[in-house]
Amino acid sequence: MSELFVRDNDQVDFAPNVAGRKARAGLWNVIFLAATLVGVLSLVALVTSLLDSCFGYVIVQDAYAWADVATDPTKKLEDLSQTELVTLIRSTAEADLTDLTLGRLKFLEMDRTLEVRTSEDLRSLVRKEILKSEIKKSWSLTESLLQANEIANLQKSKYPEGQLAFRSWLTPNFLTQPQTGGKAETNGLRGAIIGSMWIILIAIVVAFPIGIGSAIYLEEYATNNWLNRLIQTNIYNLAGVPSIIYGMLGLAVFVRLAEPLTSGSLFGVQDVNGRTVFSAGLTLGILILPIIIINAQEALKAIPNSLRYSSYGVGATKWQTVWHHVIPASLDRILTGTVFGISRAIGETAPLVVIGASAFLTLDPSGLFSKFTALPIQIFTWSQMAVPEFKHTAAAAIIVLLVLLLGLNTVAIIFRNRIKQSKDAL
Amino acid sequence: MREHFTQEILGINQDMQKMSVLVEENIRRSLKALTSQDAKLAKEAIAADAKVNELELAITDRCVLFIAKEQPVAGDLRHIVACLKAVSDIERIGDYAVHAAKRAKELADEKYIKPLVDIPKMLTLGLEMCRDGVGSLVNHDRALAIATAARDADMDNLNKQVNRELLALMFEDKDNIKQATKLQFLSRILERMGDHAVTICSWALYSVDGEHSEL
Amino acid sequence: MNPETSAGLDLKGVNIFYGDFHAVHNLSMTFQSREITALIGPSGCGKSTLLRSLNRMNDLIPSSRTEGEVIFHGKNIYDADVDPVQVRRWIGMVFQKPNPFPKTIFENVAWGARINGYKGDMEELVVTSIQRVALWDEVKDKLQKPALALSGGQQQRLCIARTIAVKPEIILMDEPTSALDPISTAKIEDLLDELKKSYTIIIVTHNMQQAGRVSDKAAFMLTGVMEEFGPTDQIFFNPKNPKTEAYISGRFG
Repeated sequence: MSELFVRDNDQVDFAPNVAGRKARAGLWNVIFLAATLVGVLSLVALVTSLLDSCFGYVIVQDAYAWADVATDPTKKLEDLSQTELVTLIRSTAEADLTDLTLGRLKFLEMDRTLEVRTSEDLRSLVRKEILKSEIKKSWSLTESLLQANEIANLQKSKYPEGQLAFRSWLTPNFLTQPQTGGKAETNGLRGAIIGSMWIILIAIVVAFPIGIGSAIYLEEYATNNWLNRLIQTNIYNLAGVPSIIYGMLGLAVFVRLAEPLTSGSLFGVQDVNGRTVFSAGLTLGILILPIIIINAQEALKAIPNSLRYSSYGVGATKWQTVWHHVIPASLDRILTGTVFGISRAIGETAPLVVIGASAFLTLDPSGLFSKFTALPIQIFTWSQMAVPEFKHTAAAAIIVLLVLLLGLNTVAIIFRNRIKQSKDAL
Repeated sequence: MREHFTQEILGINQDMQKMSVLVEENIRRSLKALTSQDAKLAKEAIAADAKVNELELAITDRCVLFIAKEQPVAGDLRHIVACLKAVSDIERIGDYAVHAAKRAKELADEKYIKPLVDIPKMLTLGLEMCRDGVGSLVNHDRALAIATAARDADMDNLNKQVNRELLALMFEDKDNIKQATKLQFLSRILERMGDHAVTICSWALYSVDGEHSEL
Repeated sequence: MNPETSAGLDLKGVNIFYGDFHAVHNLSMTFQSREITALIGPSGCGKSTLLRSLNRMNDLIPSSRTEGEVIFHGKNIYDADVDPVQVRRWIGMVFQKPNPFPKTIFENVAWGARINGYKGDMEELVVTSIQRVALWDEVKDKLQKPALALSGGQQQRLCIARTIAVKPEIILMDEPTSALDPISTAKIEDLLDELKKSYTIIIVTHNMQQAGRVSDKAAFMLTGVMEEFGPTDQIFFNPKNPKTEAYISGRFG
């Protein structure tokens, strides 16, 4: 340290101990860094373990051999064209040699007819329904990489007819296929994704206008009397209520009490109960409502009064001031908060379970009044199943959910940045 | 509040009084020089006027700077302006004292045609009026200003008296004419001392009332 | 109301309270039409409170209560049948810190006129208003740019343009130049001289010299009481009230 800054007579009144203070500061620096590292490492561990489960070796074994089933055994399944695949499937069903009966074919075609399906779809159909390809055993990525030899030996010894393949559980097919029964490899997320989308849409349509409206009333119009203070306190409390309580509320009110409305029987829909997408959307809407209100209120509070005064100064009414000045100025914050509310809603499981999300749903939700499932439910169900292969699909589904969440938050941030930029430029 | 401001106004007032004192001293010197016919003293009085002129310029500068830096308003502003105007009147009174000294020097070797009685009275009155006029300005003394201004009547009377006597002396003896005219001229000059002192009093009233009064 | 004759304001027995605090005591005075009146006094003397009561901006402060009469064109603006929104159209306000809307320069001036249902040529109104505040040369090619990008002095002139665009009769100004540099201040003071030909202006200012420079009449307030009210020439040359003299000479406050 420069001698210029150390003076003898200074030591009488001060003991600056700059070195000591810097050392202490450095220590805190390390502690904070360590805390950050712990957080980062936990995240990394989570993501790694998920990804680990999504890829790996599998032993596939067919119940029926290709040679027995194919019209032309020399051609491989992968080489058949779409029409050839259709013919093969129909002839097999009629021949009734395998488990693919006509009845089963009819059931499959209720979803989509064979002719409109893609070749890839038809191929997986062949594998699933005719060859009855089954995954006998599966391994995680690390196991696959580290124990490759043991796995190969196991396959040769225990499953000589089977094949060892490297499979990615997270495929585009996975996203577009509907849920099926017991086989992990044939399951898809389609129903869950569409269900989640429907629910979120309804939740937003319900919560956004009510939430913003309430926030505007509470911030701009309400006088500071005991009633409004009571309302305000209760909103804060509601934001912290466990989500399962909202589930019970939804069950009692939307599923049971409002059954004619939520089941659609009021509108003439037949043969339904209250456990519909509509109920789920309404429940989640109520769940995120306090969050949206509080967030919007904070956004409105952050607008300085000088803006309001300048509007009143030219003879504007309160509504004109709010609509033309306060809301546009706070819009970016409000929208950002709303998107964060959505990302919270996407991950909520407990209320959906209580309302009655279907654990098993092969048909996609097609309207307000359909039965439904959602991503978190699907993950929950699969992780509970006895068959070990389902842990892979559960992991894949979690990855999908995380990507969705990340995507939403990114959209929120981009949106906010864009509005902020246009405000700064403006 | 505004320590600097208050101190500065006090300082200007003190300078005004200092200038008044210098002029008073010079009037006394001239008076003594006249009555004792002391040429040396007369020379001193003439030289001493330089200080009075210096002080006038210094006070002027001080007032101007005060206005520039302190932006006085109302009473303070009126007072500063009154001081600015009054310093030139004090300086003129000083000049008249010098005039008397010059006459004293000239007449030092002559015998007076009559003993000087009224002219010394005029000098003394001029001294008092100057002192009181500046005093009324500096102390915001309305009553003193009016009273002092009133004494100008005495000064006029003395002047008339001197004139009458000198006129009589001139009639008596033609040789008296030279000295008498000098003395007459001196009396006229000394009478103006009173006028300038009255002007100082009217500026004193301006400072207090904000009005231009006929005194 | 005849838009050709600008009106003054008559105050009779005005008392203003914040809760229990008596901010302005029994004030009666007249603001003359097409004159600039300055309200001066130390901090907390009630001059800003008084100013805000003249166009019912005090209504926006929940604890504030105004008694007495503020008479504009023969009508007390505090009568029950008077809408404060209408009052603020005729009695406009410019604030201490320039606060243009976060919109374009054009929109800033146009918005007030638009919500008041301006039927004429909006573009002409905006151009004229901006010209009248001597801002035209500086913004004529960037009317669509954001107002917040302007300098403080320009923003304040824009706020004045915005106020006059709705064609008020009285303009209230709450220390309009205290946040600005000397040159912007000088420009706005020149502007006031021009504006007083068409509007009645009431300006609160801390700056003694500014009050002396711009105003025709001055009112000195001390703890909510009007100590002296008279022509500026008199207040600054020979005030009648010793408290006034003491304040403007800087001996307290």
